[in-house]
Amino acid sequence: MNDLLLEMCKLEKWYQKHQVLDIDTFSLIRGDNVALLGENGSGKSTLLRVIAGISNLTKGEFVKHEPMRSMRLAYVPQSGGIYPNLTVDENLQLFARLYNVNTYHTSGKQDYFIKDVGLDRYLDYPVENLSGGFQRLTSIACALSIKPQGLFLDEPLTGLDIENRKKAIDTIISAQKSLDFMIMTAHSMDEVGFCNKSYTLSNGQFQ
Amino acid sequence: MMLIMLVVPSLFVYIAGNIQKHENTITLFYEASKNSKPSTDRVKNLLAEINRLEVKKWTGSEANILSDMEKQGADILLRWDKKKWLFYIRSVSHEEQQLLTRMAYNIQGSLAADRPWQLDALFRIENKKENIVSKIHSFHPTVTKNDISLVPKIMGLIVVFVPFLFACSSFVREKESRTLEILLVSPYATWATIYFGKLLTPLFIGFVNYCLFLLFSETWYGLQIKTGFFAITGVQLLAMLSAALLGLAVSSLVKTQLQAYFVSAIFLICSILLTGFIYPVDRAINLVQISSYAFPLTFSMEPLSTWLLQGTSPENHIDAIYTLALQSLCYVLLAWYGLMRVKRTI
Repeated sequence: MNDLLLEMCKLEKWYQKHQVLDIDTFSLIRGDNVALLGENGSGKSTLLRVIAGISNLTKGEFVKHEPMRSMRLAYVPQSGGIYPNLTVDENLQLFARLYNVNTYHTSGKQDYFIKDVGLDRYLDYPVENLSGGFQRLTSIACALSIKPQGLFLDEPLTGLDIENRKKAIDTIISAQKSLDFMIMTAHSMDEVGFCNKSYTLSNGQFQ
Repeated sequence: MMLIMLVVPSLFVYIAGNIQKHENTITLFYEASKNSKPSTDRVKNLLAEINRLEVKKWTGSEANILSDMEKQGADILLRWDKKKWLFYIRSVSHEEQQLLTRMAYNIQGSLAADRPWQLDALFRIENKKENIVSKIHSFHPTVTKNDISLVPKIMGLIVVFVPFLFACSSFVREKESRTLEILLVSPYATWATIYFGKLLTPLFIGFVNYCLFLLFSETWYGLQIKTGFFAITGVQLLAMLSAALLGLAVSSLVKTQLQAYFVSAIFLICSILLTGFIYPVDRAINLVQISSYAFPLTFSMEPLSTWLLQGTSPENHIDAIYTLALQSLCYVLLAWYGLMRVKRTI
């Protein structure tokens, strides 16, 4: 029972008169690495936001069990998710303060996949001066820097070139070892080969 | 942060410590006639707005006014000159110069409503060698250029505008850069704490502004901190709260920072045009009068101006303060609606 983290039933989400989610059941257990697949506008990001607790349900039952309530969760949105006028280093410090983790300062700034994703050269650069790809990597690095137990990734590989995509995938795979669960959205199965569960959404419903 | 935590309370304590520094009761002798312009009643009303004045009837001679003033213990004499058909304001000491100037401006304002009468104020300044220097200041619509009555008005405008600007751009910035989601997933932040934080920061910045303005207005313009400082600070904080809540509501409803800055510019222009900052609202058309109720400055400027210039206690503007409180309440509801809308659409 302790492995059950989340249960959802008869889930509906409406934006004004437009229904974006209609899902019968969804559950999450410890060790799950879930991939949410689908076309643009299929409801992947909305479902991810609902599970992360950012977005409210219009209808349905949503039960977050005790283990998940006390977990340290991190979320990487489809774009942004970092403060553009701050440097990479300042963003990392801000995340550390936000989650009240002080490991960033004691580890000499090298521990959080910064080097793995090639961001160590840009620590003192304002994020807005970095390329779109490096901004994306910064967002992922910030999320991983707080050593999360649960990770939500909304199309984390979008906008990355082949080399950076490989770096990002390697980073996520190495982070997976310390995660209790991970949910990730993507457009195709190729991007989520390291996940152990996958759901395909179409018009807000599981196929 | 530690520096701010130290500097701001020190600033506040310094300002609070200056209250009543220059405030002793002033004895004013008054003489008018049936033909006085403005009328005796009007002048009495103008004087009633000024704190710490003890008004007595003048019984001295016309020939030797200044020595009679000293004999009768008069600090200020306000006297209607029948021949020249104008009011003279005379003071024995330059200590009361600021009050005297404001009084002269008040009466002059009333005079100017009829026609551009000149009003002379005579200051008798004593220096260390006991030589007496008399100095006449003329107050005339055409010659009065250095009018400091704008100082509290501008102060009131900025004190209200800054919290609005900060609140207006803060929440939408989080929405636009998608950091709102990051905050919501983090363990210590909830909708309530984020919203409260976005309200508290503009209020704090506004308050620091207010303290600095008071300090500068005393240092540069000689507008001393007067009795009723805590009451007027309360009124200004209420105005800042109202402005910050309106800013937060706008921030929740707009989609981009650019829109937020555009609304801030409109807010600034409307605050200047529709609140009595330049044009008196009570003489404007109904639409302007009704619109003025939307802006905190309409109700916060007059108490601040009269307090800083004449020492008028904020209790004299109790209706404006109640309206300001009601306005804040309305903006609480508007901000709450904005929050609900963001929660629905995110």
